[in-house]
Amino acid sequence: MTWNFDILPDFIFNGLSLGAIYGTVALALVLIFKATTLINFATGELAMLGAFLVYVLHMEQGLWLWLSMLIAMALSAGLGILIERSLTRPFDPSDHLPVVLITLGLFLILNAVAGDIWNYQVRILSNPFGKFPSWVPSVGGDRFIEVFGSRLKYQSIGIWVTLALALFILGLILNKTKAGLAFRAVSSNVESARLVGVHTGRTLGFGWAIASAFGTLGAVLVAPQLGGVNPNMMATILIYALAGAALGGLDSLGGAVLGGILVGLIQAVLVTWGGVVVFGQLYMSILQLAAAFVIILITLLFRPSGLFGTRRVERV
Amino acid sequence: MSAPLVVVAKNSAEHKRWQYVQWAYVAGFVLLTPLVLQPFEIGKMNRALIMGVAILAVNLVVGFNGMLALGHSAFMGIGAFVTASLVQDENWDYWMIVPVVLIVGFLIGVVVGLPALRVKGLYLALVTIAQAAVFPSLVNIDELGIAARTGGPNGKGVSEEVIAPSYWEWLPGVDGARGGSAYRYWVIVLMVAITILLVTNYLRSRAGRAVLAIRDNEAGAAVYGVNLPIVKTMNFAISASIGSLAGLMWCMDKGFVAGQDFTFLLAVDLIIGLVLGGVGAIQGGLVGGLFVVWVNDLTKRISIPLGLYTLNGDGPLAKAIFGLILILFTFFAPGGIVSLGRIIVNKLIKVVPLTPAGQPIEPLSNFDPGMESTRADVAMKMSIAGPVLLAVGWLLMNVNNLLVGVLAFGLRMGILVLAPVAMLVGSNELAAHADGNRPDSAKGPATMARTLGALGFLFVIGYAVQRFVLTY
Repeated sequence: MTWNFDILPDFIFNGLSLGAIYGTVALALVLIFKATTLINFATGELAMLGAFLVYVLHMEQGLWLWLSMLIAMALSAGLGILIERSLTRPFDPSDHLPVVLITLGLFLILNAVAGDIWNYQVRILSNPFGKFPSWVPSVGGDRFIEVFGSRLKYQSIGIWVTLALALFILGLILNKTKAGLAFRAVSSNVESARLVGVHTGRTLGFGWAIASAFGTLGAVLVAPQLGGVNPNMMATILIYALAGAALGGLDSLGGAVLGGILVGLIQAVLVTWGGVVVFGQLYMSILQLAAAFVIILITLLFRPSGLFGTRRVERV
Repeated sequence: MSAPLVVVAKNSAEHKRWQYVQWAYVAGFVLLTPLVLQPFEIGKMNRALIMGVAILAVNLVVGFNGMLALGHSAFMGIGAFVTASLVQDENWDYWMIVPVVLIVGFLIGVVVGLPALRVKGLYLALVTIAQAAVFPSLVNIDELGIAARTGGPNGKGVSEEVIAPSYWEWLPGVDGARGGSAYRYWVIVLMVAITILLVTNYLRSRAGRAVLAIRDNEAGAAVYGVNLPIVKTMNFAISASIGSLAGLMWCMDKGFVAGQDFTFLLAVDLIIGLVLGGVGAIQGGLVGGLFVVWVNDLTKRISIPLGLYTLNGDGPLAKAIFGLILILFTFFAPGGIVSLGRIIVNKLIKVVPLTPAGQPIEPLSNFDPGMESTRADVAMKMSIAGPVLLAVGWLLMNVNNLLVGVLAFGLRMGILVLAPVAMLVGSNELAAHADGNRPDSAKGPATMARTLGALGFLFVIGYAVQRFVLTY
């Protein structure tokens, strides 16, 4: 076990890009948690389904990758609305058990259906950020830039830019539109929101829609790092996203993103520490997954509301 | 049929008779299982019982304390690996490991539970789900000698087999071809019985009442001086130690443990068993365990051709069926099979407590002269339906189709319930008639119900005894 400082920047870049993806999935979790105080365990599988939609549209039907991504995001948003309307709305949100059971059931069904249609083999999905586009002046290579003697991959830059754009759009939606205002009202106080005439059910559906779309985006971006799409691709990602959400605070959108990035960084540092060097490949080492568990435990021990979450004060 | 068929006073002779029948069935089921079933089926039954104990552990947290524990597969795994390591590497006996496993499970339960249970909310769900996801890979860690103990990715076999000592060979099924699994069955049944007894007593104790109070009204419990974090954590730790005990039983039964056996999917199976059996019911665990194992077995054999596409239960879709069951039960039967059973039982019999003066608080079915009783008629129909269903079930047995086979089995089992109920209701109605509380027209059907029902019941008992004698 030795520190290997030479490759540290590599892993930090890698960790930052992975972390950004964890942050996206964590955002999907938090969007639903904020509105309904429930953890949607089917988030990962919904995202996986979205990635498979992109696979079908792009790889099988030959659509332009970005267009198929948009279509897949729209479709999974629709699926999110459908699930919210049909499966979770009938239940009292203050009783967690039924809704968690529903999302667990969905987890099983979506995974099995995807497994039945596409098998459990890894299917290659083309990388939206494989090479620099031709109009970018080449620095160091067509896939990466040399920074501090390390390779900053085009893929990482692309992921960051995409996510920053997506977050910007999300901010616009939440802060400038009426639906966004309604969503913020519902997530801060359901009863009051209902009293002033906000249609809470529709608003929760809106939250589910955005969350599913974000999950899909995360799944598509992570797919190249996993070698492609497969029905179990989101299993570990979801655990990291949960850790990220817990670390950032379960009710803070910005916290979710930052928490996810932090988790990615911690994971990267752990890889360096373990001396495991696998370039360009996401290497799910054993220690790393345990790290997610430990992060959740430590967060709960020292700061249960997370780094950026609001502390709940309750009178008993 | 709104009124229950029989209304009896609590602890009366009538009530006792119903209870005897109930216990006779439980005893018959437990005794015949190792005799009638094939060895591999006994193995499945063992697995169902082990799952039952684990589900009971989950139930202790989810059903009785209202917290969400979704990762008991990890506790099972810990129990199983501790057992495997101590038996294989240190040559311990299984019974010596029981306290070790309980203590280890308890301590890990405290470590995992305390941070999450200190604060309100869904945090326990978060921690336990991560724990379940992480556990299979923890087993493979090379450092600290963990992989050497657990066998790493290859799993660990236990070469020492559980064989009945000579003075236990009289147990049904143990002496013969199915010896090994039948003996393990008896050991597991004993452990299950002790666990259930202890859990029932625990829930009746001061600590158990506090646990239930937290579920029903957390703020109220706190007002009454319940220390919420401590009670919740202790309860979770007890649940974890029971889960580890299930792991010990798993290792003892299978003789082989591997990290892949204790994945998140096992945890999901436990949750499904919990919901299927009944959240918040002690029996729910065992019922759920039986269903998880046997439904899994059934779905594997489903194969329905749908034009170009064949719906195979063998492939990934088995999990989808479980997911569907989970969602359907959450929607339509949140109390699980146990609550469905209770609905039926409530239609059959109502047990009325007595006032301190010895008066029942509601009129018993023997003493409602004003009521135009159709109970005798219903009982008579039941007494006839039992043998008819039995015959139909027997005929359908010859049809070689999975669904028809399940249906036939269900029909044949009908007599198990119909015959004794008809007999008991019939005799109850006859007693009421003798007291002058029934019109004479009820006498004929009541006599018929009692006679036919008794015959059916005798047939069932005779059949069981015959199987017992044949195989013993």
